[in-house]
Amino acid sequence: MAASRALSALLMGLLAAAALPAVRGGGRAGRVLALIEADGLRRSHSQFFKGLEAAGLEVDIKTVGEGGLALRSYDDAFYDHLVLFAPQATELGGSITKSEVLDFIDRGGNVLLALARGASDLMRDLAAEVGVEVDAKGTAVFDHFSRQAAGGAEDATLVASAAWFDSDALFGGAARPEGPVLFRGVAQGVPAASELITVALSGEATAYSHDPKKAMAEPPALPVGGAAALVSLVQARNNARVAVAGSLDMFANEAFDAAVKLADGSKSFTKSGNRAFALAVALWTFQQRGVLEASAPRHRKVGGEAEPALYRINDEVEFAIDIFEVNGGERKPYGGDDVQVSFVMLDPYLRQPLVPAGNGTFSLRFTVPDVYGVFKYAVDYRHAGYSYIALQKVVPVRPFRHDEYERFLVAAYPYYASAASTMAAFFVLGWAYLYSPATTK
Amino acid sequence: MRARHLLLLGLLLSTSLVVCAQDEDVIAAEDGGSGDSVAEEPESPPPSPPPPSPPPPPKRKAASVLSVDSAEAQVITAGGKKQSTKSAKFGSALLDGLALDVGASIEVTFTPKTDGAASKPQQAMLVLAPAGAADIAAYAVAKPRKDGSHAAVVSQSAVEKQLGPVGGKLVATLLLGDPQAPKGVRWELGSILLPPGDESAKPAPAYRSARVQQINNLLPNIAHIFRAPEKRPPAVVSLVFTGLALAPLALLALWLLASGALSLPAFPSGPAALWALLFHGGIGALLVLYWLFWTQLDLAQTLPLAIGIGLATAAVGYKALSALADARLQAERAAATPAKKTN
Repeated sequence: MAASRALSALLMGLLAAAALPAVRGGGRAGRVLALIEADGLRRSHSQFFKGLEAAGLEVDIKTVGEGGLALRSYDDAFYDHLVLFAPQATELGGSITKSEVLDFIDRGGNVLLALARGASDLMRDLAAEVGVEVDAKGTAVFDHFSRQAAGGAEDATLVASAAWFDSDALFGGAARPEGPVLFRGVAQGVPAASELITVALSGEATAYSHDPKKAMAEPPALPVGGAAALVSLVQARNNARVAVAGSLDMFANEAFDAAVKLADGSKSFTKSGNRAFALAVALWTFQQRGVLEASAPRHRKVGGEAEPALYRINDEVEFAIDIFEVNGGERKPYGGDDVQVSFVMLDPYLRQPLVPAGNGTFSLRFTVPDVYGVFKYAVDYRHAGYSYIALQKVVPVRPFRHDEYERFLVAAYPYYASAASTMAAFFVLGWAYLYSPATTK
Repeated sequence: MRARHLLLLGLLLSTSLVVCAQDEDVIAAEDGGSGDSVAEEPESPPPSPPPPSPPPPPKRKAASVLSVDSAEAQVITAGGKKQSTKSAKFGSALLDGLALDVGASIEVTFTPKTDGAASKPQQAMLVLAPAGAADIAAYAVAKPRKDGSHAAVVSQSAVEKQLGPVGGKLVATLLLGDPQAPKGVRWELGSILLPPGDESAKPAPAYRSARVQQINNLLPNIAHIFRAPEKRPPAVVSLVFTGLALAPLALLALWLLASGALSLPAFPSGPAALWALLFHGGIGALLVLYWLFWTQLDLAQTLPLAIGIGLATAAVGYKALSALADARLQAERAAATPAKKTN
C-alpha cells in the first residue's frame, strides 16, 4: 500500500516536472554564451568575463567553430544572452548562423557584438540587420588629439573618448567612468531618424573615420566628431537588446588596466574608463540595467466605480499605471517625468504627461472629451536606454441619456409659467363658468 | 616606463588586428616610411595613390612636427564672384568679422607643413561649432592642391546638411593631424556669422551622437477643446417674461373677484354638490397628474392613472352636469309657470 502511494507520488512529481516550462539554467541573471574567435581571448579578456560572472551571469565561453554549438533545441533556449567576440569570423559554427542569431533576438535574446577594423561581412551584416551602419571595411577611427599617447606617434587609432551617453539607464546609478574610454576599431553611423538606437559612446570632436588608402569623404558621409558612433545600443521592439561595439580591444584586460595620457598632453588619468563602461554596456545589454516593468493600467471615475465598462462624455476620470525600474534584480520606483498617456479614437483627443507620485505610480485626472465612440488609453513610452512601455486599454464613451441633461433651466421659466397658468386658469374658469350668476342666467 | 607598457599593449592588441597592422604599414609606407617599430615589413606593397590626392612624397622622421604658418580666407559670393581676401598668421582669429550670406561661401586656404616642408597630413579639416549649441559641430574637409596648399570651403548649405537649420555665430577651428606626428595642430580661427535662420528652428544633426540624440519620444501635449455651452439669456430677462406669462392669470383672477363670480352663487346643494366636488376634484387631479408627468413619472406610470382618473371624472362629471342641468331646468320651469298665470 505504502509502496503504491510512493509510486503514485513519484509519478505525480514526474508529471508535474514535465508540465513545467523549460527551466533555464544559470545564475539569476541568465546564461551567457560567449563566442570568441581565438582561445587567447579567454586570457586577454578575462576581466570582462569575470565582471559578468560577478553580476550573477553564468558565462559559457566557446571558440567559434567548435562542434555542437547551438543556441536552442526547438523552443528550449540554452542561453539568454550571446556575446560575439569574433570580429573576423566568417561563420560561427554548429547550428549558429546569422539567421539563427536574428531569430535569437526575435525570441527576446540579447546580443553583445564586438567589431574591429576589417571585421568580417558576417559581423557587419549582423550589425546592419539591427540598424547600425558600420563604416567601410578599410576604415578605422583616428584621433590625433584625444588619443592615448602610447610612447610615440605609431598609433593614432587608439582613441580616447569621454563622450559617453550619460544616463542612469546605462550606468544604473553607479559612478560614471573615471577616465576616458580607450577604443580601437571602426566607427558606425546612426542616422538621427533611427528610433531604436541609442549611441552609448561617440568620438570626441577631433575624431574621424578614415581609410588611408582612399580619399577622405565629405561629411555628412564621413563619420566625424560626434557623428562617428563608437558603441551603439539597439533595443528591438520586443525589448531584446543588442549592443554593437566598434572595438573588441576596448573589452580587453590591457584596456581595463591602462592609464590614459592624452596625446595633446592636456590630461592624464590613472585609470581608463573601460572597465566601468564596458561592463555597463554588457549589463545593459543583458537586461541588468534600465529595465522598466509596468503594471496593467488602471482607471476609474473620480468618486465613482473603478474600471467602469463605459464612460459618459464629460465624466471626470483618473488613469494610473505603476512603473518600476529593475537594476540587477533590485526593484525601485521609476523616477522619470516624461511618461505621456493619450486618449485616442483614431486621433488622440488628449495627450498629457502622467504625474509621478514618487512611489512608482503615475496618474492623470482629466475630463472625458464631449465626443462619444470607442476610445482607448495608449501609453507608448520610449526613453533612451530604458525598456519600452506600450500599453493600450479600450474604454467606450457614451453620450448623455435622454434624462441626463440639465433640467428646470431658468431660461425656460416663462414656458413652465405659461403651462401652469393655463392649467390654473382652466381649473378656475371651470368653477366660475358653471356656478356664477352670469352663466346660470 | 608607462610609455613602454603602453607600447607593448599596442603590439599585443595588434596581434588580433592583422588587417589593422597591415593598414598601419600602409600608412607608414604612404608617408614615406620611417625607422619606427611600425615599419617592420619593408616589403609591404607600395601604396596605390587615392584618386584625388596622391600620397605625399617627402620623407619624414618618426616624430614629425606638424605646423602651419598662416592662412587666407576669401569670401565667394553666390554668383561665384571672389570678394575680399583676408590673411592671418597662425594663432590669430582669421575669420572674425566675416559673414556668410545665403549662397555665399568662404574658402580657407593654408599650407600644412611637416618638419617645415609642405605636406599632406591625413587630417586637415575645419570644425564649425555653432556658438549657441553645445557638443555639435559641422566639418569641412580641406582638399590638397597641386601647389601643396589645402583649401576648405565653408558654406551655409554644407553646414545645414550636417546640422540642420542653424544661424548665428559659427566658431571655426582648424585641425591638422597625421599618424606620423605625435601632436596635432589646433588653430582657433574665430567665428563666422551665418545668416539668422528661423528663430524657432533647432539644430538637428544628421547623425546621432552620445551627447546629442533624441532622449525620448515626447510628443506635444494635446488638450481637448470642449464645445462652448449654448448662450442663455440672463436670469432677469427670464424672470420678467415669467411674470408676463403669469399676468393673464392674475388679470383673470382680479376680474373674477371683481365680478363676484368666485362667490359661486349657483353651486348646487345636496347630493349634486358631492358630484360637483368630485368632478372638479377629478379635473384638478388630472392637472396635477400632468405636472407629475413632466417632473417625475414616465408614460407607463402616467397612462393608467390618467385613464382611471379620466373615466372616473367623466362619470362624476356626467352626474354633476346632469344635476346642474336638472336644477337649471327646474329653475326655468319655476320661473315660467307664474308668467303663464298672468297671461
